[in-house]
Amino acid sequence: MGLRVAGLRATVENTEILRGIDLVVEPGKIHALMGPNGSGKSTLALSLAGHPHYQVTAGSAMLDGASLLDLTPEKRARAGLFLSFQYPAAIPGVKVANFLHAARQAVRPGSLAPAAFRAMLVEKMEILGMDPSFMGRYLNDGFSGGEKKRLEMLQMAMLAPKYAILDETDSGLDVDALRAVGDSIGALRASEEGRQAGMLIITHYPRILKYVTPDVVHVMMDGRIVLTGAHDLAERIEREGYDGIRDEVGARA
Amino acid sequence: MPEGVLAPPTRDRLHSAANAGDARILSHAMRSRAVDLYLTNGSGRTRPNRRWKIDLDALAFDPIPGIDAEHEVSFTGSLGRAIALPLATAAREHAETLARITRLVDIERWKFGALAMGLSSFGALVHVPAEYDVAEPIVITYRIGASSAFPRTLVLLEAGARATVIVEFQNAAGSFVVGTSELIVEERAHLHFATAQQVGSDSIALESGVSRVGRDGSIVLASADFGAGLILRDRETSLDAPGARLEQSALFLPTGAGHLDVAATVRHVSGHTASQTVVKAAAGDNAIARFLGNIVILPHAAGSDASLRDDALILSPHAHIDSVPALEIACNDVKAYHGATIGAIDDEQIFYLRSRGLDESEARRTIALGFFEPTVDAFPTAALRESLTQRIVETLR
Repeated sequence: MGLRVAGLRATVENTEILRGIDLVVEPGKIHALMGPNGSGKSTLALSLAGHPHYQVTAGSAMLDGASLLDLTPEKRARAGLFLSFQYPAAIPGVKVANFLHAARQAVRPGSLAPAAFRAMLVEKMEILGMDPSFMGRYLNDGFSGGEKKRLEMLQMAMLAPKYAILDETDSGLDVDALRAVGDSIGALRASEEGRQAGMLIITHYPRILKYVTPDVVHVMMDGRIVLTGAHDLAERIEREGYDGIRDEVGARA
Repeated sequence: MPEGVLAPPTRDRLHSAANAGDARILSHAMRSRAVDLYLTNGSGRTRPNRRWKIDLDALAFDPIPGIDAEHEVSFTGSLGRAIALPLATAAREHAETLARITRLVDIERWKFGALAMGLSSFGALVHVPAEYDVAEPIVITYRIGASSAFPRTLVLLEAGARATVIVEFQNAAGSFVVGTSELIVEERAHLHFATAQQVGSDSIALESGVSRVGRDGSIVLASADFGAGLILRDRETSLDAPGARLEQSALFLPTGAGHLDVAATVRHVSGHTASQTVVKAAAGDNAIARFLGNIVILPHAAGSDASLRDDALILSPHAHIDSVPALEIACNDVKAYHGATIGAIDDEQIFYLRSRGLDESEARRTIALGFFEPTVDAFPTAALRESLTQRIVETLR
């Protein structure tokens, strides 16, 4: 069981970005993946989700025993993987409510009657502090940064994935939005469907970790995970930044 | 194939067809003048490039309309005090009403408008008396056989009247249709006018539409065109008095080797008038789509507010879309907005939807339907919106 990544290497336009990633996210656990800009965090997220611009050249990625790398992006989603995008695409003309219903049907076919779907939607939107008028708006079209991230969290709550990767979901959010994201993660984990969800929270800054307490913290630099520790590792990064860790890791290497 | 289809009609043949037309709809003198102007007026469409294969200035067709049994006009909807009649009947029984509306198309300027007037064979008149609200949509259905037809649709809404008029064309394979829509919206009246058609690869449909809107009147125009044939739509709306408003939308989706050409002009004749134009064009296969948008704000039209938004989606590497917007503003104190996009479906949009479990074809369909949504939404009934959505889905399949 678990989201198990081993020896994963990936390139973008023939430049190697991931240089051997080993990572296991167990069901029900929260992992934070931290690191400076350009360390390859988003590349890991998009490679696992199957973005066509990223070529995996070596290694494996298994979701509860099934190999993700052989699957199309939609089949990865149906297997229970969810990616909260750093930059969600806008799709004009597609109403949020219709999209959420289509996505829920695609990922968990026939599991929810329309009335139950609507009730669930209302409940999750309340947790996220979203106005009901969101439902009639077009997907991410003209949304502020904070609105886009809330909608990503709403999707996560509605799709109830087995494993969720949150790619810089906290970047650009004010305190209220951060708290809403934290509450949404908490609510997912409190729900029947999401109780066993494993999470990989990718972040540059430790501040979201005030709202979500990770079980494990990883530090990524130059396409590798260079340090893994407990929650106090995030506190150290907050105090010292990444330079101290870089010196330590460099000295060890 | 009927005789004469393969070559452009001669002047003599056009005149003999014009002289056979119903003189109560339009006098023979006017018809003769109109077909002469058809021959001398330009189409306003120079061939923009070698992709444009059809020469609109030398179309081949039979000017003799098909016999009555081949073409039909029918009406549904509860009219109350409004009238909706075939044009020939209206010409006999409502000659005065007809006279109020029948000179809207400027035959001196419009090539195909002149042709439609000169050869007009049948059509429909809708007349809504002052302050009357027709609650249900009036649906005009034209069934066109495999021959030439020159239908005219005339709508007159008197002061304070309200109506929704839907025109449906069912054009047979091999049809050649040159028609008009002539709409008058008097002060405080409101008209919602919608039309949809699909034209097959061996068929042609050319429509000239003119509307005039009076003080505090409003008009919503919605059109949707599909198919592998040639469709050309010229539309001109004149906002004649303060408070007049236009909302217009055009959806067009040619496929196969289809040519679809829409030209929309808005004339802000008076100040404190408002217009909004939304165009969504997509082209698949080897098809060509072209939109010519023209906003004209005349010298005394201060306080006018005009917006023009046109977006084009290229669905195939062999398709071609031209978008030619123009703003002619002769007055300082106005608001005018123009925005345009052209491109293919974005890979990031597709990946986003796939990451939510939709497969690639579903993702493409979702994005394309979203693209057209504002123009589908402009249609007045849920049934019509659903059938347009179905047609888009079938076209994209």
